[in-house]
Amino acid sequence: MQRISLFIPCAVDALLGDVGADTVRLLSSLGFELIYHAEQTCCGQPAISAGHVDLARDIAKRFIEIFEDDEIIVSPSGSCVNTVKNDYPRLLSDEPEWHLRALNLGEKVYEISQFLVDQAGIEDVHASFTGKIAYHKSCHLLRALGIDLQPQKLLSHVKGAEIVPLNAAEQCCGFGGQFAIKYPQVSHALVRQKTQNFLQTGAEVLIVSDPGCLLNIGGYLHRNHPHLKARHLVSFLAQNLEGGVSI
Amino acid sequence: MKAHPQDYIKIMREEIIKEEQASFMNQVGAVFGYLTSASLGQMADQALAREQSVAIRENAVENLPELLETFEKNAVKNGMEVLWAADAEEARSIIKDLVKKHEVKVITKGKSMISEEIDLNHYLEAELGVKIYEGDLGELIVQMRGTPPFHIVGPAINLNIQQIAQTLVDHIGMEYTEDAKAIANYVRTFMRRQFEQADMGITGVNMAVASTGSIILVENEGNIRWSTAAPKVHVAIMSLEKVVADMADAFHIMEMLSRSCTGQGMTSYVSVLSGPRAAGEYDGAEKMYVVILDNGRSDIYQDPFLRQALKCIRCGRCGTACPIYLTVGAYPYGWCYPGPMGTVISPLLLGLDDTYDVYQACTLCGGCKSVCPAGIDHVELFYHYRAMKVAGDKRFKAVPVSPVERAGFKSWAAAMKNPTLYEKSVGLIRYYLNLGSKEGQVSKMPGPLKAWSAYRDLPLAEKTFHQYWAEREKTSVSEKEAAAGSDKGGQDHE
Repeated sequence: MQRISLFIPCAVDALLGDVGADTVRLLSSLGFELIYHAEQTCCGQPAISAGHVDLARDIAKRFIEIFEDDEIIVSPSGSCVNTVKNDYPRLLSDEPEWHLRALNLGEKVYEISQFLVDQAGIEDVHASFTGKIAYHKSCHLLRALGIDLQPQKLLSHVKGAEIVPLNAAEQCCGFGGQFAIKYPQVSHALVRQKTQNFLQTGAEVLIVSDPGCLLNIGGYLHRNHPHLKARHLVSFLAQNLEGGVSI
Repeated sequence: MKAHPQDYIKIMREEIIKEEQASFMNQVGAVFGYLTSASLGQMADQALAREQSVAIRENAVENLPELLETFEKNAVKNGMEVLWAADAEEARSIIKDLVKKHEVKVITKGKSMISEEIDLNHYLEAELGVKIYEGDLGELIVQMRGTPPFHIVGPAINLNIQQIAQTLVDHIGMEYTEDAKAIANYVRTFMRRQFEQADMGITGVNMAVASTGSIILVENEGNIRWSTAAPKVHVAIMSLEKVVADMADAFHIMEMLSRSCTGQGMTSYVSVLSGPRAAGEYDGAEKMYVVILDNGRSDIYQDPFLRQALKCIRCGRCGTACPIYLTVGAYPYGWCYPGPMGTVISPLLLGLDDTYDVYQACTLCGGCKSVCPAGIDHVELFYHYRAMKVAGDKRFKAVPVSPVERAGFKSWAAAMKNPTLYEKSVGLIRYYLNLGSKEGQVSKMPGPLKAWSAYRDLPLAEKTFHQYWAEREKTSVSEKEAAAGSDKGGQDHE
């Protein structure tokens, strides 16, 4: 079986360790052998989006050095995969050798649903769940990486789960990294809007595919609608695997 | 209008609490989003049509100097007078001279963003005491109210009928009514009188066609037709990127503009003007001027990457896909270009420092980019503006970011390059977060993070992934050892 190198974003490491653990559970249950470079930190996205590109360049190079010998790299974050795949080559465009190394690495990095459906050909992970779920289309998955159907295919095979349509599913939840701290009123208005749309679905779980959306929507629901939950796609799948799974 | 994007946060705070406006804006987004998508979907090959419009705009912007030269030559041949304005001040003074020269008392206008950009109405009224009437109904309403247009084709789209009726009662003597048809009829009759007595019509330009020396104007109300056909003098003002190579290009852009803006295959009126009234013609201006405005655009053109900002065709479709614009409305942008359209152009025309919040208050969700018929890469542009700000790009009026922010990011970057330091930092952050945490959710956060916890909790897992993985490794090692017959059991299994 293929050996997968885990790219665990810093937000998952520091705040959402359970999403990382669920990534391990899910991929192990499907028979993949996993490796994890414990020296990995952050992909540098906060520096890129804040405009400190010189600092991001060093972080990018370090990331490339850590991962470039791996066969295949999988992450539970579309946003961070987008940084490595699409931002690194641009960031390093003035240094031909690094630019090439960034491009080579980019070809081996996958968001987890993209990897499972497009690369491994797996749509049914053998999970079951009784109830209604809705799916939020995270911005960077949908628009930066073009990943739309892959997570929905995985969800459609979860036995017993009824996927209900979410109004304005493709609209941003208002996370935006530092945006949420810099413009809290705007961020709040957006996550409130997202939540209202979710409430209208009547579903009890909102599935998201990016840690950023999970922090934002999950935290907002916990404060204001504690009976409802936002779950990362991998957590939802891993925690509803049929017959349990050994880690 | 006078630009004031520095007031972004103050105005945003005033606007964001207007619940009625917010729910209306959401409908606007949904309705325009639907109309434009449906209209574009009617095209035989939508993807190809977009590829073509992107190529046309790319070609136009890449060949801007040559196309403008050709346009000028042909427009002059057609009997128009072409006047170049380096900045807003020069444009205003050129038009002021024309108003004086032709002894103009009354001006009617076609809605023009450039007119707003150079704040023309206020200037001419103050300098010359001339009467100016905006011909577009929505624009007339906001002119009377003294507010900037809220939306590029729906300037008064944020007002309800009571506000509109009262404005018309206060300014042009209408008897109060909430009957939309009666209101439209009253304004129609009122505006006809102005069109008939106007000495000058001032309009914008949607496309300038280089190969024929023509200008093209699109509209749905007929007021632009009036302003270009009835008064003796027509002044068309355009920013220099409006030029395209030929009629075929112009008509394709026109179709993409109409579909992307209002969802129409073609607007109700399309005026193609190729010179003043000729002998034997029964309408049209006797004298026709085209004022071509630079106002900082040549500086944008000089930068091969930033140049793409000039590809914009001002359809406003980005606005209907922008969650920020649909939430805060037009006013915080502080100028005539609201939504992502403004986020693209305002920082380059007004400077990166004055417009700081315009390009920072963005989640980089890419909604705008995904619908842009001109192929602008908004996300990369906005990343770029932020980097230009940090570096202090003098060309676009930026001083380097504060030493405090810089130092913060430097120490952050140092931690990201050192796994030990990284792990210690994560531990420290988790320690402070844990102080305000209960059952895996942080409800109170320190310092600037209060901005987060004011509105929502923060999920905080029991362990970091690093910890989880280290324990997993340990477990699997001990399992292997157990399997190998070692009696070193007793490890905790999760």
